[in-house]
Amino acid sequence: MNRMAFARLVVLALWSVFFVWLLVSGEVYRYIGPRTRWVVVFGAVVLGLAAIVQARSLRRGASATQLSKSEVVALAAFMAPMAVIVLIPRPGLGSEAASRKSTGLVGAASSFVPVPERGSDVSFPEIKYASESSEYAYALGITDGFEVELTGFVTHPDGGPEGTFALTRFATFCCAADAVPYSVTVDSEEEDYLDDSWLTVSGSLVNEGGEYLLQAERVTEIEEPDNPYI
Amino acid sequence: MAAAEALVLRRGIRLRTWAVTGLSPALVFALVRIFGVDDNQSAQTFALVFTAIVAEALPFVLLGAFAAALLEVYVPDRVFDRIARLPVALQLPAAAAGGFAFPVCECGSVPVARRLIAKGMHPSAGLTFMIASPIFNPIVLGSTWVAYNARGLGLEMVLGRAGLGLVLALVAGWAIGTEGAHGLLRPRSDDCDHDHDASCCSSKQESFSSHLIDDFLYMGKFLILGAALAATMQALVPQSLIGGAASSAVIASLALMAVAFISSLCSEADAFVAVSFTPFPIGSQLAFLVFGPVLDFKLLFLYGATFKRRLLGSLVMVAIPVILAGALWFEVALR
Repeated sequence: MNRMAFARLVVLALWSVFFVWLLVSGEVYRYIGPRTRWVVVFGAVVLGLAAIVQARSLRRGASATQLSKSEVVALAAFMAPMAVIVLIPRPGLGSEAASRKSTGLVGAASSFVPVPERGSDVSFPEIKYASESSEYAYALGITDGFEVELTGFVTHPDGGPEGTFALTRFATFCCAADAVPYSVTVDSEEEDYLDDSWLTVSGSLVNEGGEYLLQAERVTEIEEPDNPYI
Repeated sequence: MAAAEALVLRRGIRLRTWAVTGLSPALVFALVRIFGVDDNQSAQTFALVFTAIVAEALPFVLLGAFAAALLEVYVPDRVFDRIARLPVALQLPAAAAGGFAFPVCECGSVPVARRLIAKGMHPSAGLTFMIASPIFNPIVLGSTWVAYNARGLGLEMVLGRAGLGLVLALVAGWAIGTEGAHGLLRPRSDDCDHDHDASCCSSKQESFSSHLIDDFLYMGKFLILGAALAATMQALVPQSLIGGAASSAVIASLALMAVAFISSLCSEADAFVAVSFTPFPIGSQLAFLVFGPVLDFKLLFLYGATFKRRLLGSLVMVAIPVILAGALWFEVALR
């Protein structure tokens, strides 16, 4: 048997199946952003076709090639992402990642704040920009008492006001590697929560010292949502 | 007798090898569970970022391998011969313009550039295409516009990125590609393409599939290595380390180039990350956007697989000063 061709067939077929599994299970949301989901579909189809071609050449007994050790290692490298998922199923970016991905710098010139889109939902980024620009807050109608409901996980950034915690959510664009954390400080009189607990917090925004805080009225502990990003 | 003993010995070794191969994954799995590695946040970040980079970038390598196989099998050699006869001064801007028409990010442009050079295009033109393509293509410039338009700087950033990317591609191509294909490309077993075709493939379709699979599997393994390194850095190195660099334009540009190298982001998404570096000067954000698609951890391995080692050093020597100068000029121009 042509071991090289067989090993290549296994790699191509497994990657095609892996991409199909990502799509069917919904796990694709965990790794890939909505804009680039098409690459997973493309990968599943083309690698599936490549596996079929490879299988046909194997059946015809195309020129026999033995598998060298370096080739075994190289093909095994292709299994690494799947092995990682078996070892660490459903990985997530939590409070530690939010801390690592923060540059530790706050504040920006008002010219760096986005132009608001009228009628857009108010979520983590909008509250961040409203804190940095009163024009932005005014354009979206964000003032003291503005009611919002946010879902995110708990973090405790250094230097946060006493008796508060931060509700954090990552935004992704292409994939989880480019995730950017957004946090809103929550003032909850009832209790504190452990890092990485997922909560839905509803309440009203209050401007304190230039930053919009969420004065919690109702806090519900929830399971991590299927799509953990915004 | 001795032959029989040798056979028994070989069988014993083979059995032990299979036993180790079979048991190792089970052992690793058990250790991960026993020591709770799967609950560790750094391990989770590594697992997520590593899998995400590979799952997102591997199809682009496939797309690049697809285009490279098309060039190899369906574009007649005489076309490349004609292109190769053109003056280099004409090939370079044409290659950069070709980058605009090939909308894939950096992982896809490397196998295509390799194939173009191997088919006879001037190495300078091949390198110019490789560097221009992930910066100077409509999807990347479109995402840059979307990200920065929200700040009211969409047009400026698109022009800055396209302009500096173009200058870098032309300068790097001109300066590095003088050595000729043999001095630049790392030899590969499938370089004798005509032999390859004759031995394995009876039709163009089979030849196409064979080149596609060869290129994909060859480049893919290096991408996986680079992704593992990038994910390790993202899981372990806090970005607050560069926080103090924001006050100086030069240091900020160098710091954000380092972040771009470590993060290994796709050029189609990096503008959304760059825009979040709000305290950093706008010129340093441009440096991030131009440096990342040219040099990062995953590209380090892809270049290593494709080119001889000295290309990497030359690329660093050219890219850093050109990008730094462009970023500082951009900073001053926008004031």
